[in-house]
Amino acid sequence: MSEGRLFDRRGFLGGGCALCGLLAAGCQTTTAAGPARLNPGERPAAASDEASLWSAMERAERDIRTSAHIVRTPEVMEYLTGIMTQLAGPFARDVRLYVVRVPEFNATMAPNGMMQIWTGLLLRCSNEAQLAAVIGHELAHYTQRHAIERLRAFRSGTDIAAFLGLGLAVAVGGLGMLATQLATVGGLMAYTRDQEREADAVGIELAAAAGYDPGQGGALWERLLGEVARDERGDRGRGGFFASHPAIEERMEVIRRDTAGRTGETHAERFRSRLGGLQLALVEEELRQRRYARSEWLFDHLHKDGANPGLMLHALGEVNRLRDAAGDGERAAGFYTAAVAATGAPPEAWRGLGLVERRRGRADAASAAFTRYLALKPTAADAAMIRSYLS
Amino acid sequence: MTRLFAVALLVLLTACNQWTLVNPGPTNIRSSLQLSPTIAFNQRAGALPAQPTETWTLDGPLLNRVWILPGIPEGRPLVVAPSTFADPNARPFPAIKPTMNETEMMELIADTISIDNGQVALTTENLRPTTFSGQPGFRFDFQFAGRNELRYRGSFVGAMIDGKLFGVMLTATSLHHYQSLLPEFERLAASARRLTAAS
Repeated sequence: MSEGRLFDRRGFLGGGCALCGLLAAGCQTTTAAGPARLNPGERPAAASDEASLWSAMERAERDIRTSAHIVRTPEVMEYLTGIMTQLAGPFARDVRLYVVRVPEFNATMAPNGMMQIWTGLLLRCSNEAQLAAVIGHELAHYTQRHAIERLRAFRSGTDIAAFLGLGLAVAVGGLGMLATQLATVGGLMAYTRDQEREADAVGIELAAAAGYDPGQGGALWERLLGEVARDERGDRGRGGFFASHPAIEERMEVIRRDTAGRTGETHAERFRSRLGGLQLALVEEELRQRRYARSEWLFDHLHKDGANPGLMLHALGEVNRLRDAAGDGERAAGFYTAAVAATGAPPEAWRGLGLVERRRGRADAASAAFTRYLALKPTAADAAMIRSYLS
Repeated sequence: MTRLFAVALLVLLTACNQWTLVNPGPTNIRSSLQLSPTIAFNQRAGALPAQPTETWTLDGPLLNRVWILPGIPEGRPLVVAPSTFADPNARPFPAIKPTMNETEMMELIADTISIDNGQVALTTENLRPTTFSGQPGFRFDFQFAGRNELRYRGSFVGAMIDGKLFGVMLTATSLHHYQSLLPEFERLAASARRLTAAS
């Protein structure tokens, strides 16, 4: 139906990272392995290879700023930017956050301070502390200048500007690829395992310094691993990064070890309330992928984590209704019934209940559910069809 | 042998990108659906035999296209060969089930469009009853932004007839092409006639 080429999934999963801690202090250190970390407000020297890299990223960022795939809800962006600002401390004015509508787990940081969080990651966070761990991880990419470090290692005689220029031409012009794909050097190369470990460590320290429970980052990893293990597509469902980076399990163990016994706030309720109506859109994006077993496992675990019970029960009902295998209709009806009795259920839960009851031949129950749905959402996209069912 | 294989592959790839002319007037689609365009279209030729749909366009599929569903049976997806926008890991696409109601058929079509265009956020609107080929059917409109940043609008009109999904769908850029092609799309949808062995 269409022509083009889409994503290479790296970034938080495969994105780089570096040295430990002290991000908030903003002090400058030099490592034997890489360049000195950035100071707040610092830009690369003119005519340097790093300046070329920043320039390319700034061009990509101009495209992203006007992209149709960016979440622009002011209250959501104000909230998420606030979390990043708190974690970034003295670097807060150097970094910018964009939420990109892609229903996969990922976040990226470009070397010029452009951070992207994919909507699939927001769905998978149960609380603010989990998101803070990711943002902390990505901030470390920026302050530790991992992109230029990796690019210089990768370069070996290749002209950096030509390299990036080719990347831009192919990504934006040649194949019509979304500019976000290029927005991080992580999209062009993977970071080392050591850098990943260091990034995790930085994320933990930043989250802890801001008062968050630092172990929540490990909990997020754990749930992701459990989710992809249920993917109907087997190894393909793990995506390119998982296929080539089995160290995820190892990193999760290290995070667990390093955060054992440490406590802090999760701010789960604040996370749910501030994301507001975006949460239903996140659920719908996931449902559209039709990866039933994986989504069911995810929604079930988010529900057990206490994340918006009405919405998660509705999501479980939707998975069962859409899959429609043996017994799914009955299970879907059960989830919808529980959803509408819980807090936070969207009107669509009544519609789902009506559809499965209609399919099960329970006309009265279906009519009652449809009537309730139309009362709650008279301008629904499918209102005319639902009214035809009632008549 | 290798050279022969390379030539065969080249011929196959070339065939995949060929277009043939569809003249105005009654046109049979795979012996199962007849449409009567009032203007000439380009039809994608050399599509994979397993691909259950046909594509027509006036100005190229990135600007406008009419997607024709000539009776897709139970258990089959609407897309077999994903577009190059789609995540290669996204398959299999959802398949038609006999228990589906109109809302669920709309969801199936919308989800297929979303996945095939690179997991785009797609909004459906105004699902309502209609007729298609003289049978009770359904219609809805939709919008999405492609991964190429073009904004698209679309409309689907179709029906489940004897367990097979028939329909036509217009997808075109919001700027100019959708409104420009909508009247012809309405005529196409109204002209649809299911073909049977007896017809």
